[in-house]
Formats: sequence, C-alpha cells, structure tokens
Amino acid sequence: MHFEDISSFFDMGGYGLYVWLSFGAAALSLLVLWVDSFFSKRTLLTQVLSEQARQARIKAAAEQSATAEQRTTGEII
Amino acid sequence: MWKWLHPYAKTERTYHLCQRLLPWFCWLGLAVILFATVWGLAFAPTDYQQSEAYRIIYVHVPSAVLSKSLYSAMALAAFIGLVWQVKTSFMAMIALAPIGAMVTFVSLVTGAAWGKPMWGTWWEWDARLTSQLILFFLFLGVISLYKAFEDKQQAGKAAGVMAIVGVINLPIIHYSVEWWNTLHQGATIMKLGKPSMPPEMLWPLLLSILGWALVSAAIFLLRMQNEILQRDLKRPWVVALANKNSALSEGK
Repeated sequence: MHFEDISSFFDMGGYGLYVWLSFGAAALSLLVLWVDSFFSKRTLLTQVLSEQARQARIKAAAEQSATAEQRTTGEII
Repeated sequence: MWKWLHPYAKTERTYHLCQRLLPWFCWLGLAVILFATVWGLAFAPTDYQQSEAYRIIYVHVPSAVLSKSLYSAMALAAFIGLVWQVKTSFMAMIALAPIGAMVTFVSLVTGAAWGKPMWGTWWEWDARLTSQLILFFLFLGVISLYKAFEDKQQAGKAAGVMAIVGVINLPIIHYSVEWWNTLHQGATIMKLGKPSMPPEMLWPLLLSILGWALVSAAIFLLRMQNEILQRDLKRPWVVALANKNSALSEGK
C-alpha cells in the first residue's frame, strides 16, 4: 500500500476533500442510475400483473351481468 | 448486416439475450471497477507534481472517455434506426442516453473537483469544459425530445436526428485542447505512440476505464429490457413473463 496509515489515506496529502468528493459523486451517480433502472423494471412487471387482474375483473363482471340479464328476461317471459 | 441484425429486431429475443448477458456484465463490471479504484486510490504511486490530487484521474478519465463512447454508440443506434427502420435500435438509443448523461455529469463534477486545487477555480468557460458541458446538454436534449412525443416511433426519429447532428461535438471535444489555448492538459493516453505515463499508474487507469465500460453495459442491458417491456406491455409474452416472475418471487 502506498499510504502509511489510514488517516493519511483519508487525508490524501491535503487534497482529501477534492479526491473524496470526486469518488463520492461518481459512486452516488452510478448507484442512483442503477437503482432507478432496477426498480423501473420491477414496476413495469407489477404493472403488467395489475392490468391482467383488471382485465380478469372486467371479464368476470361482464359475465355476471350477462347471466343476470338472462335471468330477468326469463322471468318476464 | 441485415441478416445478423434481423433476429434481434424481435423484441422478445433481445429481451432474453439481455437477461442472459446481464449477470456477467454486472458482476464482472463491479469486480473490475472496485479492483481498479482501490488500486488507483491506495496502491498506485503518487504524482511528483500534483501529489495525491492526481488520483481523481481514476474516476475523471474513465467517465470522460465513456461519455464520448456512449454518445457515439447512441448516435450509431440512431443512425441504424433511421436508415434500416429497426425498431429496437431506437430503444437502444434511448436506453443509452441516461447513462451517457450520467457519465458526462460525473466527468464535469470530477473535473471541477480537480480544477479547484490545481487551477484555482471550479469552472472556467474554456474550450474543453464548455464542449463537454454541451455534450451533457445534448444527452439531456435527446432524452427530453424522446419524451415529448406520444408516438414512440416518431419520438425515436426526432431524437435520432438530434443525436446524429450532435456528433459534430465529438471531434470538437477531442481536439479542443489542441485548437484553442486551454487550461485543460493535452492527451496522455489516447494518442498515437507511447502514453506518457508510467505503467504502475497506467494499468489501474486502463482497468478502471474497462470497469466503467462494463458497468455502463450492465445498466444499458437493464434499461434496454425496460424499454422493451414498456413497448410490449400488453403482449402475451410479457404477461407470461410477469406471471412467471411473480411465481418465482413468491416461491422464495
């Protein structure tokens, strides 16, 4: 290792602020973009599932009203 | 080329190809970037002029190199999309744009943090810095233009034209340090002949460029999948995939 101890490593010869600012900003930017990409994939897949459930509900409701209508028309006759 | 590209014009195949490649790029990229950064930060020798401040190079140069490579890749994708009408090509273009914007932003921030101790200023309206800032705005322009259209085929065309026109900025960035008097130093490694840097400083730098490239590729694969899912949201294969995924996560 180039540095003698951990405190001189953090100090970076007096340039600690600039060096760690750079590396921190880079790490944070990469992380933010990764997290955004990762979670939007998840959101998209759950969106597909909720849309599927909605379609199923619509279909069930349509069938129910169809049978109910059949029943009422049957009574009239 | 058409024959080679044709199967990947089918979105489902491209999605599964991304899925297969993703873990490799992800873990390899993470390993290389961590290894190179630790090497550069803690083990590389110090610079005789700039002392430890020069270590910013291990994040500034990779991000700056990647910003130009990603722009070229994005413009190439736009060109293929416009000429051969490949639908997935525009998706690749818009998947690359945010990654390019991010690395350009990093190169500007790290450049400012390096400029303050060495030049005595965070920012200067000089040729290299200004052209790099324009590159950042070009990325943002492509993203916002794409978002402005409801019809994504139209959006791809409009943003694609902008991406291609913006290519003019790349040689300007590259030669800005030669054409104008500038604070920014000339090229150290990206030039003909031998790089003017000792190997024990150069190796971690080359590795960190590789690491950044691999991580960018991993994020690209993920964003490409997102674009495909977004476009094919109502297709049966996506519905089947979502069901399979939720069954897998419930099983855990």
